Amino acid sequence: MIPESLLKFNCAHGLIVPRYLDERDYPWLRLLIEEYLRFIDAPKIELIRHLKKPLPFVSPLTKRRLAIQALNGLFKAEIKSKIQPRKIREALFEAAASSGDSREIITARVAQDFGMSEQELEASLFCDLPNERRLQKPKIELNPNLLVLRANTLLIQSFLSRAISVDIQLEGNARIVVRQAKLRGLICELSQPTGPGNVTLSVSGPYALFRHTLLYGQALGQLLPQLAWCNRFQLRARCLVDERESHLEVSSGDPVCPSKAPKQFDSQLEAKFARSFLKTMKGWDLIREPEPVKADETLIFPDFLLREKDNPANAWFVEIVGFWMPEYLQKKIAQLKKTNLKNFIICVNSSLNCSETDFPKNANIVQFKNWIDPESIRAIIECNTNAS
Amino acid sequence: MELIFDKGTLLFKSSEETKPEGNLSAFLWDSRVSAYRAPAYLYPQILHRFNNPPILNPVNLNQVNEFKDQVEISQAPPILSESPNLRPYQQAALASWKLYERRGIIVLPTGSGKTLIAIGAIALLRIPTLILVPTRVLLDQWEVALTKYFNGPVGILGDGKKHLSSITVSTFESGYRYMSQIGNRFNLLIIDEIHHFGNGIRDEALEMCTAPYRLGLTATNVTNHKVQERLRELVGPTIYELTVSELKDQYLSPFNLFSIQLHLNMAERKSYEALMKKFRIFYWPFAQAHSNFDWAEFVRTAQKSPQGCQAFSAWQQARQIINFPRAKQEMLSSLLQQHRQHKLLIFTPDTATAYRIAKKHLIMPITSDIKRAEREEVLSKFREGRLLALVSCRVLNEGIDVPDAEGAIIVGGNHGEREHIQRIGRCLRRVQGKNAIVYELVVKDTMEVWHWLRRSRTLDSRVVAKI
Repeated sequence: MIPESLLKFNCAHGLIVPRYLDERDYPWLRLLIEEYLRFIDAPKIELIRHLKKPLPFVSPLTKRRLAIQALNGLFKAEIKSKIQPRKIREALFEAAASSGDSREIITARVAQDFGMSEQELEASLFCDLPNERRLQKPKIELNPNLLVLRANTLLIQSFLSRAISVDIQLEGNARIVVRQAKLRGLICELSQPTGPGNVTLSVSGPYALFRHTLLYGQALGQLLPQLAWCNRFQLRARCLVDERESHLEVSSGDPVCPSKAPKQFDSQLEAKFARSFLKTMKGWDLIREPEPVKADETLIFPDFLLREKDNPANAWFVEIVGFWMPEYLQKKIAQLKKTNLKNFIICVNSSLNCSETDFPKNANIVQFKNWIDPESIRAIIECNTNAS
Repeated sequence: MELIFDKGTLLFKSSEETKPEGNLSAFLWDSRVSAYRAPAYLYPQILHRFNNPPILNPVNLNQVNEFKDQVEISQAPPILSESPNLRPYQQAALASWKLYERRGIIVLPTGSGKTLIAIGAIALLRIPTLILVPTRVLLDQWEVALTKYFNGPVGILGDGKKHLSSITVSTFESGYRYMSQIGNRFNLLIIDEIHHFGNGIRDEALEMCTAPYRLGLTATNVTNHKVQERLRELVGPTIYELTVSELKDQYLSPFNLFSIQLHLNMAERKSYEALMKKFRIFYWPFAQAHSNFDWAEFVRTAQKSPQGCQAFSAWQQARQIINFPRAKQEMLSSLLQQHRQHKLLIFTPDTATAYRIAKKHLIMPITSDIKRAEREEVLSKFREGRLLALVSCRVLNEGIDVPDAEGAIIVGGNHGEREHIQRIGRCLRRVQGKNAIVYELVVKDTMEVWHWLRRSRTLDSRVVAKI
C-alpha cells in the first residue's frame, strides 16, 4: 500500500477520480527506467541513494514516487559472493573479539583463510543483506506503458485498501474473484443479477459494520488484479480517504495490470478427474467453471458442467467437496439443499467421514478416496435417466 | 438462538429477528448474513449478559434455555511441570492482575522478569493461552521459557511455523493475519510489549480474539491519552507499575549513566545549521498554527506540499549529520579501546550507522536484515564470551535476553524515552557483582540535546555525569 501523500486524485460529488499516469508521462518514465538499468549489477543501496538525489530530468514528484514503487517490484536483487557472507562474518568478528591485533591484520588473516583478497572480503561481508544485493535485469522487457499500468494498479489498490466495501459487476471468471475474496476472509454476497452470465457481488470484510480495517482493506485491494481476468467488470468502492467517505469507480478498460494467469484447475484432483472423464465418457463435454447457480441469497460455483454432446439438455453440475473442516462441509450441504437441483452431483472425500444422512435426500453423491472414478458419475447419470 | 465465532467477530443467530439489547448494543444487524454481529473482544461482556437474563426483548426463559454458545473451541489445558518461583514484586503484580478481573497491563523495567509473571498467570489459570510477541527472535525466547514450566509442545505461529497448541506464541504479524481464524481458541491472551498496540496499527489482532482474560506487559507505560483509552478497552487498565529506581540494586544491577556531550566540527556545524534553517521555514509557521500537534501529524502535512517535502528532507539530512559525526566516531573508538575486555552493546540511531561501526570496529551487527539462525548463533556466542560486543539499531531494544552485557554505548536514538529505558534495561539484568556502565553520546547545540533532556526525565534515580 502506498502512503496517503501519494494518493493524488480529484474529487467531484464524492466520486474519486485518480490522477493516473498516462502517455504524457512516457518521456520521463523512459528516463527513469534508464536510471534503473544503469545500476544493474550494482548494490541496491547505491540505487536507493541515487534516487534520493535530484534526477537529471523533470518529473512530477508524487507520480515519480509511485513509478519508483512500481519499478522496485520489478527489479530483483541477488547475492554475489564466492564464500557465504555469513561464514565470513562469523570468522571475522570472532577473530576480532579474540585478538588484540589491528583491524588490518585481522582482515588480512581472515581473507587469506578464505583464499580471497582483502577487498573481496570487505565487499562480501554484508553482500547478502537486502540492500547490499546486486540488482538484476528484469526478465520482462521494461517500457513506459508497462510501468504506467503497474503504477496505476498500485494507485487503485491503495484506494481500495481504504475501502469499506466494494460492489462488483462481473461477466465471466467470477469464480476467481469469489475464491480470492473468500480466501482472504471477505464476505461475498449476491446482489441484483443484471442478466445472463453476469454476476453482481458485494464484497466487504466482517468488520465493515463497525469501522474500516486495514486488514480487510488490503484484502479488497488484492482482488483488483483478479478482475482483469474477467471479460468485463465494473467496480464501485466506498472508501475512506482524507477521513472522508468517497466513492471510487473502476471498470474494464481502466489501467489495471492483471495477476498471474489463473490456473485451469484448483487442484490435481480436479485435473485428474477432467482427464479421466473425457477419456471414459466419449460422448460428453466437460465445461470447467460453468455459470454460478443461485442458492437462496448466495451463489454456488460448481466445479464442472457435464453435457451430453448429442443431447445438451442432459447436463449435470459437479461439485467437489474437498475441504476437511467440518463446519465448511455443513455449510456446503446447507447451501446445496437450497438449490433444489436434481442434476447436481456432489463428490465427497470419504475420509471426511460424513454419513449419507447428512446430505439432502435426493442428492447424488459420489464418495471417493484418492480420485473420482468417472464410472461412478456415469452410474448416477444413467440411474437418473432410466428413472425418468 | 446461537452465538458463533465468525472471522474475528461474533454472530448472534436466531430464528426470529430478536435484537440483543442492554449491554449488547454492540451487536449490529448484518444484512449480508442475516444475523447480528459484534466484535469478538466483547465476548466476555456478551456472555455475561447471556448468563444473566433478561437479555432479550421480548424474552422468556425458554428462549434463554435455547441459547447455544458455540463460540469457543475447546482445547486441552496446559499442564504445569514446575511452578515459577516469583519474587515479591512479581507476586504483587500478579495479585493485582487477579484483583482487576484478570485484565490489565503490568509495567516493569526491562530485566525485572515480566516473562515469569506471564508464566505465573498461565500457571494460575491453566487455560489455553496465546502470547503475542513483537519479533521472531522473541518467539524462540518465549518458547524456551515456557518449555521449562509446562509439559507438551509450545505452539508457534510465525517465522514459517504454524503449529497451534494449548500455549501458543505468535508474532504480532501472524496474530494480525490469523486471528480471524484462531481467535476463539484461547481464553488467556498475553501481549508482550503492549505499547505497540492501541494506535490503530494491528489492533485487529486484539479485537478479533475472544479471550476474556488479558495481560499486557511493557517496560514503559503509554502516555498518549487516546492510546491509553484504547488499550483499556482491549486489554484493561494499567494495574501495576514499578520503575528502574524502585528495583535497582536489589533486583536489577546497579548502573552508572554517563552523558558525554560532544561538538560538531566546523563543516558539520555549517551544514547542520543550513539544513535546519530550511526545515524551520516550514516547521515554525506550522507549529504556530497548530498548538497541539504531534510529529506524525507534521510529517503527514509536510508530505502534501513540495515545500513541506523539502523541509522534511532537510530535517532528515540534518539528523544524518548528528547521527554519527566525527566527534562521536572518535569518542566511540576511545570507549571501545577503554572497555576492550567488557561485554558491550552499542546502540545506533539507524541501521546504516550500525553497519558503519560493524565494518570499522569489526563488531557483529544485530539488525532485522540478519536472519534468525545467525542472530541466535551470535547471541549465543555473546553469552559464551566468543563475541565481546554487538552493535544494533533497534533489534536489541526489545525483549532479547542478553544477561551478560556489562555496559552499553548509546550512539544515538530517535525513539524517545521508551527506547532509552529499553536500551539501558538490556544491561540491567541482575548478575552477582555486576555494575553496569552506560554511555550516551549527545551532540551539543543540536536537536539531540532536546531529545536527551526529554528521555533523561524517565530515569529518575540515574547517576548522570556530563563529560
